[in-house]
Amino acid sequence: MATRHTRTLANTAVAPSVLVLFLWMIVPLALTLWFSVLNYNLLDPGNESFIGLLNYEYFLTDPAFLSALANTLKLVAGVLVITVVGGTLLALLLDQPVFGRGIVRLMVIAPFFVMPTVSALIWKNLLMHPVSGLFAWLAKSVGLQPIDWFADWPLTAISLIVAWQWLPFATLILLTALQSLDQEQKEASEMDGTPAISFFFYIVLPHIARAITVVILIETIFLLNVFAEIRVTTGGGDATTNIPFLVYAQALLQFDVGGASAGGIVAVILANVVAFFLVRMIGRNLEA
Amino acid sequence: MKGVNKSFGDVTIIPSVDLEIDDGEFVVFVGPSGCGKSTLLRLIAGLEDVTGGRIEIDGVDVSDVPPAKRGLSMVFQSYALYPHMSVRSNIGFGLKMAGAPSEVIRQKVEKAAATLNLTSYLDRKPRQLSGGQRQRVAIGRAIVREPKAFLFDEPLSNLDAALRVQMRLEIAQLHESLTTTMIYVTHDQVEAMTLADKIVVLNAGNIEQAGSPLELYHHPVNLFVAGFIGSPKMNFLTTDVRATGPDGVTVVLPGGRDVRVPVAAGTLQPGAKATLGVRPEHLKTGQQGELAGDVIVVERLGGETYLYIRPPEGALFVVQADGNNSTRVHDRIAVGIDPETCHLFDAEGKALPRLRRHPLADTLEPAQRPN
Amino acid sequence: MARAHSVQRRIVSTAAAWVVGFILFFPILWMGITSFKTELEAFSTPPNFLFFDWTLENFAIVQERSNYLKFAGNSVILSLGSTLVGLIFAVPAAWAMAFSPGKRTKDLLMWMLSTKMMPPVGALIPIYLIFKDAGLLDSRGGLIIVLFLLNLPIIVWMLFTYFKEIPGEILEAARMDGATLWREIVYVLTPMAVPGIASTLLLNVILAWNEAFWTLNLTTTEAAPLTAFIASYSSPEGLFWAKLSAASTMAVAPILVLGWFSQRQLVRGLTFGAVK
Repeated sequence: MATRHTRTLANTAVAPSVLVLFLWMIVPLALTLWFSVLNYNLLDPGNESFIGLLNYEYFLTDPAFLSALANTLKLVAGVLVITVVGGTLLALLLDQPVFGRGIVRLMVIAPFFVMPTVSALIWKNLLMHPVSGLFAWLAKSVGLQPIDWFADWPLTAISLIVAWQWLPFATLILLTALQSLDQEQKEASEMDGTPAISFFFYIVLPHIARAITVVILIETIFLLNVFAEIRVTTGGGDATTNIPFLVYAQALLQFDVGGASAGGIVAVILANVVAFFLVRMIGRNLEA
Repeated sequence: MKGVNKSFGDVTIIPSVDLEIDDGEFVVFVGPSGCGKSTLLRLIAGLEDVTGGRIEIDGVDVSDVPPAKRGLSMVFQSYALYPHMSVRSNIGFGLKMAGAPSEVIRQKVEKAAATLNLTSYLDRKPRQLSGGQRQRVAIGRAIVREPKAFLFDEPLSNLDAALRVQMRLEIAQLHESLTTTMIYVTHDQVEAMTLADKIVVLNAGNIEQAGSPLELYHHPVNLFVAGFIGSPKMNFLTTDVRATGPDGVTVVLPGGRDVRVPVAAGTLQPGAKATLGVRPEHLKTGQQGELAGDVIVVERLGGETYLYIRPPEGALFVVQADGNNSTRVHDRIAVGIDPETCHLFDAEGKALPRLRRHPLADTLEPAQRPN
Repeated sequence: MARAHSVQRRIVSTAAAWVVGFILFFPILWMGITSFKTELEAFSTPPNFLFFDWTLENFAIVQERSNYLKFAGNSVILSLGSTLVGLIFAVPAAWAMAFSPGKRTKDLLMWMLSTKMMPPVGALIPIYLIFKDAGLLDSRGGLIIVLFLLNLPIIVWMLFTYFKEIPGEILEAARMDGATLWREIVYVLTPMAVPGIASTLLLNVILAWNEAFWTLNLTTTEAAPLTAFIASYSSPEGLFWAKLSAASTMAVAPILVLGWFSQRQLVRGLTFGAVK
């Protein structure tokens, strides 16, 4: 009895969630696909016409596309490097016996919980402002010229902000992985007289390799879609527009639904490639 | 009260089982890991569905009846106590589900707690109790519902050795006082031998033999049962059949000596191979003996001594000797065999029936033999 | 390590950890401090760290001039609303997947998680247009729907992992004790699952509170939560740092507190079992 009746009940229980997510996936995607082959502009409604792959052609050959792609990749790569390397170092540090470890953890974790718009504006104004910002003051006090971040190095500035936000995530994940390292392995290698650096490279690193891969893959998914920080600091511009922002600009600022939809599909394809690898990696570890 | 008559086919785990359990019996399912004994218990409980066949309780077919309505109680290996409820609520939960009035519940819970020495723990949570106490709460929860039968799924496996012995006694006493049918699963043959009215030995989903403990001890029907019951294991020696006759079968032991075992020859012919089985406790040390060899390990337990002997040909065998035996490693000794205590198994491992049954094997009511 | 490490080493690690931690935390601290300055003070150089006239005026101004509470209220409604709707859908689904797993359960779970990997821009245009036609733009209901869909996979996943940790034997014991399915859920499963449900609620409220794509694009004035409100400081008039700080501090403080409690949930919820 137990198993027979619960089968139908189980399926009914899962159905609503599946249905709802399925619609959420399919409907917008299908519509975007449809719009992408139309000549559809919100300023000129009612005059849509089928134009095949023309939107894609325009989108992909637009120099703004290549620059946006480059920016996207630079942003993702930059943040990944900072967070993974930084996260590893921080995790190693926090794994040590430290007085008041709890409070240090709190300080390190906090940035992840700050909403992106706040992070971006606080960094841009209070910290990075070339005249009254804190960094400017620091630079001047050691005799250096303050950097005008958003004028000269906008993408770097945004990368720093995003990295600051994601460093806690990487640290937390890597710390968790680190703490699962068998105490006895550490002791065995101490008895063997292993120097610390070798210990790190030959024992610690392989152990947290999986966690690092997870961090990279999950962060990439979110980093490909950085939006708020860009909108709120530079509002676009060549140097800081990434693919999502490009699509957004075309849709809601230029009202070119057709073109932006093509861009949206391109973004989806890019993300799917990443998702493919992520799902494969996690599927192997899923305990279901 | 009831006979449980079931036969089913579950291809992967249990090919087909027919078994009847009488009212008030203490039945133990025993066997190695993976033999299907827990599965059988869960089928009786209703936690799993039968793929084929029927289960009847008191003559009523319960194959489609949910566990709650079968009138059974189960004690789990991991106790499965509700962690967020007090001991009192744990024990009373079944009654609460049955809709009993709270006064009745309180009385019954307190009575069960008194029987099991849990009265002072009634308001604690499971995590505050020791293993043995938790086990008693699990038993209390089962008792209080006054079921038609108790099901025990390896209840003592998670306890340490000393506690296990104590709990075994308590369970035996429980059966004495409640006289309810109990079906008990274990992989420990000592528990089986000490607790059971009837033992069912399972192997890969098949019932090898079902009978009283002494019946299984003295008259195992095949090599598996013979080797499973009794600790240390029965010794098995490969022998050749020299002659068969109305008084028994004569076989040649490794080393050349003869022994005439009082069993019915059946289709066995001279020249065939047969396995001789003899328990360590039935081999006698002394000067004369049909088997000889070098002692390679001596285990002294104080009350008895186990000698592990390697003969010039054939496998290692074990002899149980008196605690005062002074044999040492590397000594060469001979042991004697009493033909009355030997078993003979044919090439397929089946036991040849003995000519005379052991008197104690039949003191209890005869158990039903499997097909 | 229980052994006596050289005290020296401990001091060095502690110092390093505190310095690094403080540096990372500093922007938040600075934001907090700036909320208590006057605008003039906030903008002046060299910056003043502690010794200035502390004032509460910014908090009041932010409420009076821009109706801070309305946006805060929206944030609360959107986060709680979407998470609660999510729980309603997810609890039965996760229960079914954890206790009656089928052959496809694992695949189903992976598929659900994969819906989170779709770039929001891929759906932006249709959703925007649909909402526009349905009158759902700038509506709390519309946004609750979106946030709910965004977080549903995570809620299901987290509940699934918590439910899986409940020993099956305890539920079987309940069944043997005569509990019907419904009572099994109410008397045994739910009390044991409450901590897990609370943790899931916590993490997802935080994720919804901080969501900054849909909340920026689908709202204007009525349903805008704090993310959008703060975003309006990107094109400010006059001196605004102190007000920005005050508004930000108020927007961020509750989440920092909640976030502190949900660290472990973070690892569980966002790494999908690949890291233990």
